[in-house]
Amino acid sequence: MDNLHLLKYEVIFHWGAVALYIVSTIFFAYSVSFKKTSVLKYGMFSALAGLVPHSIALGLRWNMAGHGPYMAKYEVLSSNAWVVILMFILVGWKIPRLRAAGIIVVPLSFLMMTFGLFANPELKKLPPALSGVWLVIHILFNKLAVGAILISLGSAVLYLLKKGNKDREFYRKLPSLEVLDEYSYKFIAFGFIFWSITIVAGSIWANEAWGRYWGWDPIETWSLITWLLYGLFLHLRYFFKLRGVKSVYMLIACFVVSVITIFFIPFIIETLHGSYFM
Amino acid sequence: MRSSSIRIKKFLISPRTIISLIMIILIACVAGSLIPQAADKSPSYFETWKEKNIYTYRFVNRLQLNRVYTSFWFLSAVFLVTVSLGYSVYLQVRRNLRQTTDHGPQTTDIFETEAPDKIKSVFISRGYRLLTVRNSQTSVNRERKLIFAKNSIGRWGSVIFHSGLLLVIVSALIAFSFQKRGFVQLIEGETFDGRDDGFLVKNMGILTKDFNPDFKTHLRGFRHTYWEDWQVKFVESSLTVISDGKTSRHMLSVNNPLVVNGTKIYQSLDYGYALSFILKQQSGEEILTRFTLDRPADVNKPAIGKSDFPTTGYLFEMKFYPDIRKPSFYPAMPILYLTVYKNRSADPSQIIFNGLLLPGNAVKLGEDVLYFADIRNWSGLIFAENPGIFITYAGFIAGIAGAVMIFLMPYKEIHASVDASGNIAIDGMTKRYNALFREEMKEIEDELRKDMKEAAAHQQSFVREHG
Repeated sequence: MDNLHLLKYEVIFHWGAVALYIVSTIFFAYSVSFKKTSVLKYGMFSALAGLVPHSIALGLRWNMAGHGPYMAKYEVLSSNAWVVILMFILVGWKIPRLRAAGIIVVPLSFLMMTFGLFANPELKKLPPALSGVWLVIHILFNKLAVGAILISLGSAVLYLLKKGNKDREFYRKLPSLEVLDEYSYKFIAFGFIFWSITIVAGSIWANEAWGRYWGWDPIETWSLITWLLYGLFLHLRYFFKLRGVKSVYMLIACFVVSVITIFFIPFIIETLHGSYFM
Repeated sequence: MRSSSIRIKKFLISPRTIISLIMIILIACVAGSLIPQAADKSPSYFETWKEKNIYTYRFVNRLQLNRVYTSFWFLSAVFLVTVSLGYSVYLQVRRNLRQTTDHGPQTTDIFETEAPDKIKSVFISRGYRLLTVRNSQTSVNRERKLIFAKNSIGRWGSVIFHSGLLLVIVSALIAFSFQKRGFVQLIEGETFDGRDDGFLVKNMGILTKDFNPDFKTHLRGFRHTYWEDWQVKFVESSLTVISDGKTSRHMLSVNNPLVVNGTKIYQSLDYGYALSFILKQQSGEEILTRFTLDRPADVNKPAIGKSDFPTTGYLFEMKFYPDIRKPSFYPAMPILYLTVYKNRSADPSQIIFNGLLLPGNAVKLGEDVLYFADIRNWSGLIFAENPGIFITYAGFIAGIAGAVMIFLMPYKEIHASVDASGNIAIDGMTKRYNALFREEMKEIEDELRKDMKEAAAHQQSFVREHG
């Protein structure tokens, strides 16, 4: 089968996955809006079902491109969404009380993916510098960081929802406010570790490719800014007992800066990292 | 004197100082990425800025915001971070060494109950280990306290993480002071003799002046290949290195650097064509010159260059097409569109030659004869020495390991107290995720109570059966 046919199937599988993620989002929205705990599992199942065509689409893409899905918006956003959904399903399986966080995680993932699908689907070849194990680690952990941050955001939103509806049955089944707050913190800590590994692996890779591990490139600098912001958040929690709503707002600020770093900086400032996203 | 020293020490590890320093570095990074920096822009850029908006320029220049990462205030903040980290690591090590004195379990059994084993198994199944057992007997009650701990290594997380950061900062300061980095344009068949003046561009640490790698590098050949859309696929230099009288052959490509006597050589993605000309002057003297042209980013465009011909008054303007038949980066059928000016002036009235040349062609420039000798490739090589790189890598490893220990393996300690009647009470401490820890303790307590009840029932039935 030639690449054109494969590309057609890949697009069909991608949109099939989007459709299932939309169904999943509807279940989560219904569950949270109408306080139906039992519906959450349908949201989880649909998300899991969505992963099947999504994995096939990415596999086809990988096969056609001859490299992992990390070149250009189309591949980057789709593979980010795949990692986030997979992480969320694993977390929902291990910590069933956090399944309602799907109300944030699943729609943000499929929106990210859809945004990518509207970009140019052209297969891009790898420039010589984009190879090696450190690049793979760099990319993989960046995607894991995105996943951890989104799940943390989901938990933070559940905190805000529960705070305003403490007495409702649905919210009583969620973890206590303190525990939700702590889950947000824990997933931010995961995000911090993954982000640190992203920076470190990127530095080692840069040193192998260009002979310098830090060059104040805009993406490098904004990665450091994001990392420092998470560091600030973690120190504020530890030293100044930042908890509750204030902690949620700080977490949202961290999320916004991460989004700026990963998705907006390559568009607004010329950067060495531009090739992965243009 | 002593009180001021105490005050300084308190200041260095005060949470407010730490938060403020993180914020200063954060703001510096934002400023550095948004405000044009002297290291990235030419002096004329700042001259234009100065002319257009003198007040903004003055403000930015006075606060050194156009050279943030070498500014006095940024370096002072980095210095304070370093001292604060160093002192905080020292204090944490001292505190941890005091706390980790393990007396080992005391196992004197004073109760006639199997409770401790049951308790132990519950904790061990959850990854806890028995730290110690303390027995106490008051006039009212006898009590046994079992102290369990999990993730003891987690106590060292903060020390390891902050030591890692300290190492990375120290190595960055070493690089800032002592690094050596130079770029060479090496033409096929030529040798770089390792002398400082051979570098086209240098980037040196503030305490380093010259960069003289103690070996010679000869470029035997250069290979460049492309994908179907003419994006670069692979570039490779074939090198011969001459060091201490010995020669060795190497292949150098991107992501595959070469180490020679502590100096690393990297393949750059800057490369292009070197056009050789021989000028035979009226006096009979022959001058050989090679002009290096960068490979154009777009395959449909020619490689261009403009340069003086040394020791003559000629100015050359070149447009080089690697293949006259089709867009290509491979010089299969090359042609040069050459314009030569007299008196080093690009004025059209000074044109002495304007036309196409193939390799091997000769043209007359007044009384002189210009011979287009050959076309070779040139390869961009980066030579670098960074004495602090191993410290950087050690810092990276320590930083990641420390962060994992802090956040994924937080130290937990649970005290389970059992009285003579078999009643259990537990309490505990941890530094992170307290609410989740309380839930875990509740689960353990419930499990213990259930086990103890079963044990008591078992004991009662045993007594009933055996009298």
